[in-house]
Amino acid sequence: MIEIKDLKKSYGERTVIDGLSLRIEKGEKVALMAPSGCGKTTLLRLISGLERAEGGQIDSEASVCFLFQEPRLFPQFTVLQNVKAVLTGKDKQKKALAALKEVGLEGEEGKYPHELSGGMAQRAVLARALVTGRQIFLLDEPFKGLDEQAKRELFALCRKALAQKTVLLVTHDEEEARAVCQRLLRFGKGMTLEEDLAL
Amino acid sequence: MTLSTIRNKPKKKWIAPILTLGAVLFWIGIWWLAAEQIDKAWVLPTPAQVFKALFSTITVKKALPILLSSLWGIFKGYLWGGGLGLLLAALTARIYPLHLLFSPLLTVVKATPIASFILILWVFFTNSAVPAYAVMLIVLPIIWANTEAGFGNTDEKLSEMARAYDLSLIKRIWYLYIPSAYPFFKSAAVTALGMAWKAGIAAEVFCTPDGTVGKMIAHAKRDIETAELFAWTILVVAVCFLFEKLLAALLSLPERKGRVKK
Repeated sequence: MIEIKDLKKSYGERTVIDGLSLRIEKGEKVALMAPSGCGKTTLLRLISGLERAEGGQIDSEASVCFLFQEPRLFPQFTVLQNVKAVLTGKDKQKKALAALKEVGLEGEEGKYPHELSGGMAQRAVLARALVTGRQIFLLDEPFKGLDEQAKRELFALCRKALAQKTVLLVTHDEEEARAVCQRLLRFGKGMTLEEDLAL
Repeated sequence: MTLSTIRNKPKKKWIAPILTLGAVLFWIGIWWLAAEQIDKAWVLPTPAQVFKALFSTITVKKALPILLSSLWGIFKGYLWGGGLGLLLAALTARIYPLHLLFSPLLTVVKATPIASFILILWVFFTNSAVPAYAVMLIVLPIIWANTEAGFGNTDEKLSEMARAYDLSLIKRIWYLYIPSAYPFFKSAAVTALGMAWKAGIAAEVFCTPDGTVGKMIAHAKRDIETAELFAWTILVVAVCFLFEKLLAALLSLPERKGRVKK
């Protein structure tokens, strides 16, 4: 569960989030849609702790995992090494290989990020996120720039792999929202909630 | 992709070495003509006289132990300078006040003429210790400035991702900072090696510690044995070239394995 109360964030004079309150239930998959520059990504960054809010409160019951727009894999390390990088403790190799198998990257472990297609890179990123065991997934337009085929495969994968997770998906595309989420929140300027739809 | 700006560069790879050899022979020819023209071996010996002196230097004067002795002093200074440069770079890249503190000092060190260094160091150290210290002071700012720039080149987005996944400092160093600093360190390490040789031999020529190349060069100059002076210089250049190539190949190994940026 994520509970946001009266959240405020501005960059200099520009107010990006002006008193947002929101509640996301455990296991819920919510799409966030808003015009560009309204603060969707900022909201995810605040929830993940990458940025600090000026006011308000964010409570989450579990630790969060951020999937950025770009894959952000370490370019000098293999897919397997990238997944292992976020692991601690024993059986790192085993856990990483299992996660890569889960996302359909079995046999691609030894490849470097530049050898992967956009869809494969996002799968690797998903494997890296899944292996952490975190329960809340913040997805910042992860399907952007992918071709239709790769998108559809990733939709299916997200539905399966994130079935038990709480998901917040930032998107501009309603089709993406429908493919992954059960709830759609539309925001206007200052991240004021305009529409709360069940999908 | 790198585009060459050199015009008429041969397209066939095998032509380049032949052209290089041709260029070398051309300059040796010029040297020969000039030496014949001057006709005074103590001013400018002919290539044949120099190669004869080189042969005698290697065989009769036992160049190898002398070269090894110089190499050891330069190597010590290079390692100390490189190590301290790396350590300083890691610290100053991360702690800005430290950068402010060390910047003026290292700028002064970089700008100081090597001859001044050697003479100042000679005040404090014995003549056999000066070459290593001189090399250290030459190498340190080169490694520091370049490696610090490399650390500063760390990808912000990857750094943010590392934060989002709570990667430990050790993991961040391994996955993030080393790969971004490595290409800068590599080019600095190769450049610094050439500088180290120059500084080390210069310090030996000044301080003339026993059994070193610098002392042999200084004595050849004193005795007006110009051919021998040339021979020792050729040896130094050859060894320096060899070590530079060796180091570059060694430092390229991690790149070939894809571990660091090319």
